[in-house]
Amino acid sequence: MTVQEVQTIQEVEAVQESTPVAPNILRTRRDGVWEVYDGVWGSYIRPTDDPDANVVIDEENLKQFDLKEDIHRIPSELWTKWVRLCFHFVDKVSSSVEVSIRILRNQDDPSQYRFLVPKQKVSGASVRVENFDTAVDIATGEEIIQYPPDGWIPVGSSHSHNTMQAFFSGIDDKYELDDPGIHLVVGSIDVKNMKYAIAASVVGSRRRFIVDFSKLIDATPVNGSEFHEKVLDYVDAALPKFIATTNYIAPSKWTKKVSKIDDSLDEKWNNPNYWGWDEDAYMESSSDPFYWESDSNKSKSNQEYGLAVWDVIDMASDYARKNADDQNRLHTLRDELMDFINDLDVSLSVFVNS
Amino acid sequence: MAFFDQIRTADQSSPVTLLLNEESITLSADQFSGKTVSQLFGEYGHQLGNVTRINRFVLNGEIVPGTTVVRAGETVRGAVSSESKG
Repeated sequence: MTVQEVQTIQEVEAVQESTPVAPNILRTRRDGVWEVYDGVWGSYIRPTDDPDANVVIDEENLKQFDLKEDIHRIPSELWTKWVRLCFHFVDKVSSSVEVSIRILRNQDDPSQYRFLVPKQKVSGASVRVENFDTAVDIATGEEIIQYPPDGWIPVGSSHSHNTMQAFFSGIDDKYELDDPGIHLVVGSIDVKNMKYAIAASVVGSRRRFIVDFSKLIDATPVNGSEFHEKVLDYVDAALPKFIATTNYIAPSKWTKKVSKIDDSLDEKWNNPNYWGWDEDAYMESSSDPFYWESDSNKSKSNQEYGLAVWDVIDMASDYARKNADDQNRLHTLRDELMDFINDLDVSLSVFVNS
Repeated sequence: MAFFDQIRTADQSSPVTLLLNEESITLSADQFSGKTVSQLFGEYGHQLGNVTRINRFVLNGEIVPGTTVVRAGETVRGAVSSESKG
């Protein structure tokens, strides 16, 4: 090859490199892969497969989660304060209720955690928080008026299921799958034996990954680690007031049977030997889990307030959940609710017609 | 190819980052150009979570209204404001 021929080839190559070539495959950042399709009547772009695809993602792949090993765990002292609050709302109120916290981490030091208790309405089967802007620090009692507080990043939540099993309910999924981070449930609270269970998860990309709680939490009980008393002002455990009619059951309180408070429990609280966790649900199998109580004077800590729709739904759901194994009770509940709905239909039709 | 000439090429420079809690997504300049915080979370935030429950935006450490226009290289954090548990 002569020198002249080499120069000619190089010149041709140089021309080719400088000529822009419109790609046939168009890759967007989030809107998939497109191709320039040369159709019978003309050309247009249409979605297509990626010719350079190198993997197939299936359902099983989407369930996989590899938890990092170097996670800063929630410290035991802080976790103990939270567990004590969960126990409080089983042991120290006339009927066990749930309670919820927000978990935050320090922006500069992710090993520093903070638990905030937002102003909330609670019942035996639910927690409702209208706005996180009114909250209190479980450890210091500092009242928060703007959420998230400066320098702190929300990273998840935890709530109690009182004596019910620790699991993630449908309503938990509804709210937590849109709230990426860690979400923890404290359940199966057994005041007598000082045991409880933890369900731990990490939520990301609207999926929940169940993880070993000990990877996220140091759950070692800490003597003397108490929640700040101001927290109790933020948890409204008032029970709904039913309006009595002659057509259906009209209790003033639907509650759970609780045993007489054992004074010796205070000693057990301070004894780490009584602490533990248990994945099995604890339930007094010999006792009736629910009963109607008409004497509201027996209530010590609760106040009555107007009945909200969600109160009705929550209590019905709570009752159904607690009696899931009792077909007779479920049928009775269904019949009562159906009667109620029929009565409501009649009332509404009168109202509409008038 | 004529119609290809009308398709904008992706601009990878100085992206904007959207965060919900500690999860993030990155938007290229062609995605965020001229848009407000609310618009960006409305269009792209669903990949992080439920944007309808976000009521608080923090831009470069300061709380800002959703009408704030985002500029190249900035980081915007959203926070949900309410919840129910069952």
